[in-house]
Amino acid sequence: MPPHKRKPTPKDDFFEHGRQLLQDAENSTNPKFAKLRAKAAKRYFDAHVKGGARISTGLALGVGLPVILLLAGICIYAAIKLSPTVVWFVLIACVAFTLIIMLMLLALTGLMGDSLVAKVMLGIFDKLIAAYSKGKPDAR
Amino acid sequence: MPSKKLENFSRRNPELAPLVQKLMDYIHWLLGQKITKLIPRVAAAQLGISEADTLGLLSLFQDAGIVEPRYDLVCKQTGSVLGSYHSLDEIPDKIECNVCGKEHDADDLRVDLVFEIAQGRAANAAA
Repeated sequence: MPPHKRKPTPKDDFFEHGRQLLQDAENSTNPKFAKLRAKAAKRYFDAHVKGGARISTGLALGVGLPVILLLAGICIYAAIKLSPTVVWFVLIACVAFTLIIMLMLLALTGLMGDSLVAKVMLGIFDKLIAAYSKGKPDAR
Repeated sequence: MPSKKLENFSRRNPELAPLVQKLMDYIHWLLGQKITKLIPRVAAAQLGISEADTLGLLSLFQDAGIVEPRYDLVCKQTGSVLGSYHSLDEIPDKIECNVCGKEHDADDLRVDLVFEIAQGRAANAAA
C-alpha cells in the first residue's frame, strides 16, 4: 500500500516563507536585525517554526534531562549496592528506557518525524528479537 | 515619536532609528490615504530594506500597539481576499470563493501576512 501522504494546505507555502525568514535571520550581519527577524519569524510563522512540535525544546530538556539523570543515578546505585546479574538487568532496562524517552522527546519537539521514530523503534525491536532468537538453542 | 517602546528602541539602537522613523512616516502616510492595511512587501520597497527586516521592525510596532497582524486568505486566480484571520489556526484548508463561485483548496489559495493599522495609536504615535 502506498504511504499515506498529507494533503497540502494553503498554509504550506506560507510556512516556506517563514523558513526563508529564519534562514535570513541566521545569515544576518546586523545582530539587532537578526534578533528582530527571528522574533518576527517565531511570531508570524509560528506553526512553521514549531515544525509540528507539540512541546517546546526547553520543556523537553526540562523533562528529559532530570529523567535521564535519575536513570543514571539508579544505574550507579545498582552498581554499588546490587549483585552483577541484577546490575546488568538494571543497566539494560535503563538504557532502553533512555532511548525510548529520547526518541519520544525528539518526536514531540518536532526534531524527528513520527514515522522515523516508529521506524527506529521497530528496528530496535527487530534487532532485539533477532538477537534473542540467535541466543536460543535450536528447537529441532 | 510619542510611543514609549519605539522611542526606547530608537535610543538604544541609534543605527536603526531612521528606519523606525521612516516606517512610522509610511504608516502615517497610509492613514492619510485612508488605507488601514500595511503589506510588508510594499513597506519593504518603500523603506529600501528586505521584507525580513521590515517584518522585524513591524514586530516592534506590534509591541507598541500600532499594528496588528492579520492572515489574509487570497484566491490565486482573482487575487481577491476571501477571509482575514487573527491566527494561522483559524485559516480553513478549503473555502467557497464568492468571486469565482468555486470551492478552492490549497492549489487555488495563498496566505498573505498583512498588518492592520490601529488607527488611534498610529495617529498618536505619528503626531
